[in-house]
Amino acid sequence: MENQSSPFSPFEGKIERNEPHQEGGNSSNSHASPPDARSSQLEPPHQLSKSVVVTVSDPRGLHLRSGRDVVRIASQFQAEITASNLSRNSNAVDLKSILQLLQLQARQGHSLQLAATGPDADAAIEALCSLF
Amino acid sequence: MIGLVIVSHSAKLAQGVHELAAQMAGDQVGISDAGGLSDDSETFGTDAFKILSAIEEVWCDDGVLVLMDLGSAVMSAEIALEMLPEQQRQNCLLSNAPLVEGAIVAALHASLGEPLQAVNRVAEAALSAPKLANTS
Repeated sequence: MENQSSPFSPFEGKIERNEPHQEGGNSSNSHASPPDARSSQLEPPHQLSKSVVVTVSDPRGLHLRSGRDVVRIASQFQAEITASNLSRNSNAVDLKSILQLLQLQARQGHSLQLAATGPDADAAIEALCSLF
Repeated sequence: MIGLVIVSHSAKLAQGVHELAAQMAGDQVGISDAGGLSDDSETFGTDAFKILSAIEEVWCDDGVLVLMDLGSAVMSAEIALEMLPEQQRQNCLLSNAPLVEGAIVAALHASLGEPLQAVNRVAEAALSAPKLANTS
C-alpha cells in the first residue's frame, strides 16, 4: 500500500494542516500564525470551520476498533465532523457514524480530509488528528 | 446505559457477535447472547426461554435492545417479550437492524450513553448503509 501523495501530506504518518477554512475570514494570514487562536477571534462560534488532511498510519488501515475510537472522540463534540478519503476520491461521510466511517475504506497511507464545523471545531480536529 | 441481547439460530454466531459487540462497547454495556436451542446449543434454532433469560441477565431500567438474525429468531424473541412483566416489556425493544452491523453500531452507541430508541435508530440505519466505498 503506497502512500499516495497529496499536496497536503508530504510526510508519511505526519499531519499537515492546510489553511483552515474560514468563510468570510481573512485568508491572507500566514501559515505560521496559530490557526486556532486566529479563528476563534475572527469567527462567531457557530461558523467556526476547520479542515485538515491526515494520513492513515495504521498498517491495518482504519478498522473497526480504530473506527470505534474515532467515533467516540468525534461524538464528544458539538461540531459537525466529516471525512472524505482523498485517496479514493470518496464522498464526505459523518465521522460520528461508524457505518459511514467504515465506508471510507481507508488503508494505510490513504489521505483523509477531516472537516469540522461548529463552536468546538478546532478542538474536535485537534483531538481527532491524534488518532491517525 | 441500555443492555443488548444477541439472538441467533447458531450459538457460536451469537457468541461471536456478542464478542464483536463487546469490542465496540467496552465493559460498560451489558451484553448477553441467546443462540441455539436451550437444551442443545449444537442444534440450530432459537428458544424463547433462552432469550428471556438473556434479557433478564442484562436487564436495566434504561432498557434492553434485542438484535436477532431472522425468521424464528424474531418469533421466539416476540414470545420472550410476551413473557416479560408488563413494566419491563415496555422498555424492551426488538430491533429491525441486521445482526452483525446492528450489534456493532448498537454497542458503540449504547456505550456513548444514548437512550434505547436512539440506539435502535442508528442500528436500524445499517439496513440501508452500503459497505463499499462510493456507492452512496
